[in-house]
Amino acid sequence: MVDFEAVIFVIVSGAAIVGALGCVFSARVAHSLLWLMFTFFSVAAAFLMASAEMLAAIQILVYLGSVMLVVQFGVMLTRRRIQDVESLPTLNAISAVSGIGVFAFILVLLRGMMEHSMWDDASSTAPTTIAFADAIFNDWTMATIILGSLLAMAMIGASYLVRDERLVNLLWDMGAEE
Amino acid sequence: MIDPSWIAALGVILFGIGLLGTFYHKNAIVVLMCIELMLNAANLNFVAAATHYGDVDGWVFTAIAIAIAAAEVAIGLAILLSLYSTQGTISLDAARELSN
Repeated sequence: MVDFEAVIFVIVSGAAIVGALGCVFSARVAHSLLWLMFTFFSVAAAFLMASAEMLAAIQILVYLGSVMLVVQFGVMLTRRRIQDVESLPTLNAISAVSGIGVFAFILVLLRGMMEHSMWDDASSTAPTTIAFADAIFNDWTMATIILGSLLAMAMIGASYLVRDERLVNLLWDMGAEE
Repeated sequence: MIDPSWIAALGVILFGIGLLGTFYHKNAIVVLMCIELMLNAANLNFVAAATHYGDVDGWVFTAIAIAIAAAEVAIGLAILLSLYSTQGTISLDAARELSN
């Protein structure tokens, strides 16, 4: 008897891992971005399989819809080859060593996580979206409000950081003649 | 329903790949994307724990983390754009204004 849910999860997680590897090892930034969107879509599918439908919707709407759009703008506005900058040879060596180190780190972490005692007790039922809404707007009201003001501050700060201070544009703003 | 430990395992693998990307790349935008990948792996861990314990707080933390990631991307890209307009590049090796 084949467990179809397990098969689907293996496909979804394989897609997520392939997308993440493609994001890291793509030569072009735009391709990295597309692979990353693929990964986020797969992660949304994994959320769905954990019966977190609302989070899957948030993932697709917020991450794929707006965050990736902003990153795409960043890619368009800073279009320049990076490779012509000569990097230090020691830094390249550190990158190569860190690849091996990260691989070992993944293996150790996977082993420690899968054998952790928290998975021993029987799994209870997954929470519902109604409980989620109740928790956000009743138990975590203050956190939600602070989160909103944090987002507003971040957007104001971002627009302050990218302000244009060139004299020509300032004069044009104030209605001066060319 | 799928075993939550599998979802956490996927989170571990994605986190490792994102960590590798932050070491491997010189382009600041790709490093930012890899940080997003690691944030998403952390979200997967939250969701796995919430599903395992049947507690909704993990979902709330995930929603908060997603909103903060949006703010972080906006600030990060604003910094990168101002770096690009002053330095002409967003290579992380070339940006050493503060060290001189």
